[in-house]
Amino acid sequence: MKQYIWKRVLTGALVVLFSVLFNFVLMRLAPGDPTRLLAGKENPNPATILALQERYGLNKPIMVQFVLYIKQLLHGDFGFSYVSNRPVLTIIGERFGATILLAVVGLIIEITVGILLGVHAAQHQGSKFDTILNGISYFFDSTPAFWLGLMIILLFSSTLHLLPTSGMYNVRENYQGFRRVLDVGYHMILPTLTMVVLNIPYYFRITRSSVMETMNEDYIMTLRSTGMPEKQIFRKYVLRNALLPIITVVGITMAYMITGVAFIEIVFAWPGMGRLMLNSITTRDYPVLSGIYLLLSISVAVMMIVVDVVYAYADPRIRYED
Amino acid sequence: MKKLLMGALGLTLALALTACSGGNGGANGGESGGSAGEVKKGGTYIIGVSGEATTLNPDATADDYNYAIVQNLYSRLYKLGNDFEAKPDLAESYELSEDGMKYTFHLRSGVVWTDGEPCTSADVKYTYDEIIKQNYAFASVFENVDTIETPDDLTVVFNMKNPDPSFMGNVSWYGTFILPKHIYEGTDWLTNPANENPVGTGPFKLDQWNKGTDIQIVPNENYFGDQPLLDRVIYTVKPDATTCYQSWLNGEIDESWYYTESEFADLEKDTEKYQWIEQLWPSPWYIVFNTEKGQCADPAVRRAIATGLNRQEVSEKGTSGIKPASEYFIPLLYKDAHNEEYKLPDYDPAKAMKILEDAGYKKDDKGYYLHITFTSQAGLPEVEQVIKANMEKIGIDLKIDSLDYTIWSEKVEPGDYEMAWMGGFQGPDVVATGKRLVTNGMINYSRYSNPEVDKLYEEANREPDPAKQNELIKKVQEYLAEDVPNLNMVDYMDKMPMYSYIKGHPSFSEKDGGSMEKAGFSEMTYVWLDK
Repeated sequence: MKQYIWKRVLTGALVVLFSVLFNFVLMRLAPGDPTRLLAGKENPNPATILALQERYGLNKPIMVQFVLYIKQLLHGDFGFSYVSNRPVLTIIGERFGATILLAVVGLIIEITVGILLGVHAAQHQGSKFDTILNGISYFFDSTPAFWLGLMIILLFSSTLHLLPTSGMYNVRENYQGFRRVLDVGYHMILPTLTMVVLNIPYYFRITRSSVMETMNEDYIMTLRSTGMPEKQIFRKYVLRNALLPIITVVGITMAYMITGVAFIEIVFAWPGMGRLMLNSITTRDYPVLSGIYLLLSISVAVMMIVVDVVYAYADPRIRYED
Repeated sequence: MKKLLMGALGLTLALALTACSGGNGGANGGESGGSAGEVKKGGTYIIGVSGEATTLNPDATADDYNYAIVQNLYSRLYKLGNDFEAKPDLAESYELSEDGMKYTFHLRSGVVWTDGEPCTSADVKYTYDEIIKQNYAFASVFENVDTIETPDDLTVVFNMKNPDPSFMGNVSWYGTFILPKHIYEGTDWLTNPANENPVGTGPFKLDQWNKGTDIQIVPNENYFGDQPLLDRVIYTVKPDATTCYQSWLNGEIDESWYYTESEFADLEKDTEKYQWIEQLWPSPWYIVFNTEKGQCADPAVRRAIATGLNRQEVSEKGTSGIKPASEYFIPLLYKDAHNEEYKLPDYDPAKAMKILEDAGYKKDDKGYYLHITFTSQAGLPEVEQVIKANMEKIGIDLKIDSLDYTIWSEKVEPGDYEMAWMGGFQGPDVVATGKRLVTNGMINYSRYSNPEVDKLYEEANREPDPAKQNELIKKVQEYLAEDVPNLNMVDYMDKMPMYSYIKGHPSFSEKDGGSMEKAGFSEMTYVWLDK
């Protein structure tokens, strides 16, 4: 098992290193120069642009820039934003909490509801409930986050006047203490609802098909022929096996949750990292983008390792194969 | 759909500035600007802005999102308002020497920074010297400044290399806010901690900066001028246009940077609830032709395109008719300099084709005289479609390249294009239009070079009499009509609603209950809430 974990960690480290290199080069090869924006669109003074390029080392060859960046990273220094000139880690730190809050609450709800609905639909395959849910799931699966978010705002805020359109808290009242917590919760309802509605279909369909597939396995047939009660077969044998692929899916979505909530953060003016990432792309703020990508690749790698280990625990076959 | 999409388009700083200032257009006043009743003090005013300021240093970099805010935190020598007049700010008055080579500013006495230190001529000299020396964002407009002297604490003298009629406009524009020498001297302007915790001399001071969410400012009790009437102004970030607009409609915010133009007709019915800001800016959207290479280097092609483009259709379909079709080679706002004889050509597709035929162009087997690439900016699909259809009619096959601003500028600035779309603030006065037309002018992306035009602008630059200046610019238009290096399409009109309970807003003139005559573009000093 130890060897198994070590192998996974090593692969993870390689994934991180390559993604850092890949992102670094890709970003700089993409058209668009950050110094042009910093110099101002109105009077793009060539001298200002040159001075900024010199300052940020953007006039050096890309590989030299990369080596300097890696050296910096090894010293635990993520660099400074070109746009705000503040440390990248501070900037990411300010946004991290908001994203995690939204993503984790959403994830818990969507996984729970998605799995429950999926299991139920699989058990009642072909029923009205199953057909309707399937239809709805396809509809929401193909719905863009932007559009759904706006529709939800139009319905709940502008028409029904039940909830605030956007933001993380009421800036006018600026509540403190426990009221602040309640206020944030209140402001979270619509973005969470959007996220959950968009993602439940995913978990729903994976669970449904996984459960259905397991129910048709030969060993389940055999169990049935022994006369074991259907409920017992389902709980003891079908569920345990069917939920295995879901672990992988959950792991991967957790790793991608920052990018996943980016559009929701924009629509609902939620001050998270996804929004920061999209902004940094527009302004070509390389250091901030590199920082976010590094964090993303680390979280993807870590989640892959965690998933593999959990998987190995849940399914001894995997351990033994290794 | 998106009233202020130009901010996102990044057409130019000026366009974005219009967005930044949110409701700060305003020269034409409002329909119900409101008779000022008893002024009510207090209250919180919330502005929904499309992006977060990255720094509160007003001079170091160009930041579309901090302009509206820094105008309230710092002071300039003079400040421009929505009437485009320079008003005294830190300086009480100024004198210009007869030869136009020396500006002497007299500062107010007793001005102190928010940290209690006195603000003197040394701060002014330090700020300008650094802007120029370090090539900060607005350094280029001060290339005519030779030396700056401070004979005493309250006097600043700018000695010029050449007379510069745009100087006062530039001093009162952006990127010239006076910074505290005692805080910034010997430090890097880009990383100084005061960029997040500003020390200023403006009517407000920073109270909170909640990163990613909002910036809150409160009255500065040390301010040398009138004390603000509001208790607090909050700039809250709403990156999505529709959300911002809905948030405004629902009353969560008082002012928005975004409005939905297609809904204006409905809003206009409620004359009690809304007042309207309408302001023309000297920032036309125009087509710039590469006069040096490619197919548009032939003036006949440019004249044909100018004749074959329906500007009225661009205005109606591309801007819901809000931005008027351009008529002149210079912005509509500078009406005293319009040359009525040499206007933009009338729309006439048959004539356009004749120009091409006369110049020797023949249709190919596909039925086109020319195949031209149009380097456009992302976010203007309606405008692009109108232009493409117009060109199709006169036998020009237009390939549209819609690019992000940064990529667009990398192509257009070095001249790697044939015909491109752009915008930009052409002020603060009519002579500043020359930046886009004189040989090697800073924004002369058409790479146009006509010694006669150069000479006329040079003369205009030295001419202190505005009437004579206008005559020279009228002459310029004779050459422009022949050469067509740039082709104005629509002039920049801002139209937006504002709640009627908002009084004293800088977008409205004083007779309409506003504060345009005494406040800067987005200065909130005189704003109060009648509710």
